[in-house]
Amino acid sequence: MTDGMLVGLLLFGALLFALGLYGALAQRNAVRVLLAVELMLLAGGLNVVALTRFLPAGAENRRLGPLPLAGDYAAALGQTTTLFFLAVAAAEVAIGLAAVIAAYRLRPTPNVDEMDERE
Amino acid sequence: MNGQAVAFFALAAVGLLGVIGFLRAPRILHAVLALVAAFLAVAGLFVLVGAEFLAAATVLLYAGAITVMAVFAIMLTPGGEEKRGAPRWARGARGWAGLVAAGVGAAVATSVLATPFQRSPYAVDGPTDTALLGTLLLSDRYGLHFEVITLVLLAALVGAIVLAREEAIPVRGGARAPDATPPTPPPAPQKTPAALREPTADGPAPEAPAEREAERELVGAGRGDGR
Repeated sequence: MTDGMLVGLLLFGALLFALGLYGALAQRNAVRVLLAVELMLLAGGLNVVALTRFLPAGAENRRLGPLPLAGDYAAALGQTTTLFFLAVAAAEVAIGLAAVIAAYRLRPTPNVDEMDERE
Repeated sequence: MNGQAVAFFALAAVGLLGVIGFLRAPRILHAVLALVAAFLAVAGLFVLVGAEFLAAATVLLYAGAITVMAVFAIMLTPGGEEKRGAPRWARGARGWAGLVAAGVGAAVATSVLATPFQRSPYAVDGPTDTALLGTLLLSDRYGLHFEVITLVLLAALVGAIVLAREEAIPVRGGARAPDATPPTPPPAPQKTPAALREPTADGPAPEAPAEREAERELVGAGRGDGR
């Protein structure tokens, strides 16, 4: 892997994040808004994984302090962080979709702009 | 241009097309299907950078679980953009959203391009050892985080069930209540949980007016707040 590929991955992550942000702001359907937020989370995770892939691995890494394990430690740290991202994304989508369904009972529309209390 | 670069550009193109399809599709189910393509492309990128376990988790969680839950939510909340067109202000809102998103994307992109990234000479190629990930998750460094995230997931799933229960917020109008659901008592008799589980013979008839009363109260309260 080369430096150019890291830049490419980071730019792709930024693009995904920006498109997800656009979707979260511009979409009207609540489910689409939630999925756009999921896309933003995944883009952030992709950037973390790509960056830690280019850090020094194993015992040569001075910034991480004394390392208890051998192997590609830096990349494993990044991937563990991204695993937490995935868990948070799952929790978020469960709560979010339940909230969408609960809001639909009060006001039968899936569009976020029609969910306010005014008629 | 080696094979990795070709794979990267191909996956990035698939992901980009998927996201554009998600944003542009007029029908929401098509949008979700396009988003699955984008999720799979990101999983492919994870494989490309050597995060194979993460790629598998992404396919399972994003392309599988989250999409299926979204489809469930879409099926349960019909009557969206297919029926009514977008209001007039929506075009302006789209412009503002595009401006904000383009600004954030441009800021991140310029900072990425301005940073002189250099691959560490000690970085290694190839797939990451999945056993190392598992050891790390249960080590001193991440053990507490791991336990906390399990609690977060548990609380989120219990909260989702509580939120989406029909007793939490009754269906508005009461049209669905008598035929579609078993007799649900109004919020008052919570002291007898057996009534929730076992519908008695005289359950539906006397309880229906009370439920409608509770709904009217709820709707009235909502209107009162709004004005």
